[in-house]
Amino acid sequence: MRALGIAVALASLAATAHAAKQEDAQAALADARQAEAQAASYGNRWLPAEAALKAAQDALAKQAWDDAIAQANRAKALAQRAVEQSRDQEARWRDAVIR
Amino acid sequence: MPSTIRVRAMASGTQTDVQALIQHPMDSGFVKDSNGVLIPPRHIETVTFEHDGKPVLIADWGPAVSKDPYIKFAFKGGAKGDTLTVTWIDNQGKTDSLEAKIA
Amino acid sequence: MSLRRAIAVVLTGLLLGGAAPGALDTDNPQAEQAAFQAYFKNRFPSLPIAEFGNGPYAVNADMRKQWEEIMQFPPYDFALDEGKTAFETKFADGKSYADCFENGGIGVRQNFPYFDTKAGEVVTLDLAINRCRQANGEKPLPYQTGLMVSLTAYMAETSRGRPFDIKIPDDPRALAAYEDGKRYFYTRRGQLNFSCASCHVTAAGQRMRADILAPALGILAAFPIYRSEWGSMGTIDRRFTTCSSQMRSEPLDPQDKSYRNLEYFLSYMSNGVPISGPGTRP
Repeated sequence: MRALGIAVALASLAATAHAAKQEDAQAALADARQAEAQAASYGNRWLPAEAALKAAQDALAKQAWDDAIAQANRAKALAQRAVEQSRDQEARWRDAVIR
Repeated sequence: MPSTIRVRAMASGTQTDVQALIQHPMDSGFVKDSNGVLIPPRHIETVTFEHDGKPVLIADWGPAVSKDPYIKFAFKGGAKGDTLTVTWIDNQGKTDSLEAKIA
Repeated sequence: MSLRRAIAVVLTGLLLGGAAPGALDTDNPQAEQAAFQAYFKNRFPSLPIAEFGNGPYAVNADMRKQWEEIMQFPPYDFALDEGKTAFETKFADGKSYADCFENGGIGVRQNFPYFDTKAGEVVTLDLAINRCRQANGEKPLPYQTGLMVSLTAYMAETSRGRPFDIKIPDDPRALAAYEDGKRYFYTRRGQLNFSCASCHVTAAGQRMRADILAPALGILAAFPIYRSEWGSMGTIDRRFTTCSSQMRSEPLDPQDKSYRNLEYFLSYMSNGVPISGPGTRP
């Protein structure tokens, strides 16, 4: 009886952990999408960022939460670099003009 | 239907210099299209150059030769005004031929 | 720093000509064009202006030898034939391409792109061809390969040797388009962090892997091109989009406003370079 109780407790713990991971993955993907949208607003989407975003979506669909989180974080990091690049270049492209 | 063969033959002393460009996809059969489907093999197997009815060059090509092949060679003999005939036949049995005058 | 002092500093800065972000850098494209051409003449002093239309073949003797061999039987010949036939074929409504262009479309390629003051945008040759088709009830052509290349190849051939003659009308929208093209050219993008200038200005004439980088001056003169790497013909759009991808940056759509403005800027910079298209490239 006690064993059954422990088993049930463990199962619900696992289910909670599972649900938490899923939420983490979805949150990470949402963050990544937002960063990518920002890069897109500068007209500067990086191809590797898009690839990582797609990989994150595919992983999420397969319920591979850890994978999805890793890829989403990668996509977000790359998209953020793209935004930095665009902001930096907005100010500095003129330095390169041949005069 | 315009010819797929362009040829230029120049008599030069005791020999004739020949250049030819042939329009042909030369599909090896190993390449997939954008939908992932194999493009069927379609490539020239044999191309023959004949001078006054006698073959002066016969080439066995096949899938290793690239699209729109270009060939350049010289053969002994030939004079201005002579006829040079170029014929190719591919693995699907399609063929084309062109008669040109040596310049 | 007190607020007053901060304001004073900012005002002084603006007065001394600090450009507000986005403001026009210049209203003198002519001076920029002169500086651009002088830069490349300095980099490649032995090249006459006409040679700049030959890209890598102008700056590398070995490649030039191979090119001269290929040109005995130009690989774009088939596209040229197809283009001539298509150009001379009437549309279903009885009109033809000749009706849409000055001089019947013969010998006009060097005037493209131009700034259409009525529409307020840059019109490239490719865009003009499709507008001609649509005005006559025909479907527009895809921009990167196929019949579009053959048509532009034919029109370029009729202009071979004629120098680029791009005009910037006295219109702030035209200047803005030129500026946008200039901005695109010099802005770093993509994961590789290259701008067009990184390769075609700074590294012009040098190797990038097995390729020789063409100088930006005259770089569009040979289009459309048969590119050995493609094993087929391609338009300016084909090259722009693949270039963007090579920098790991999402390409714009063919004939996107910024691509057209880029073409406008590059062509204007190349005024005086003769049309050398259609051409071949490695």
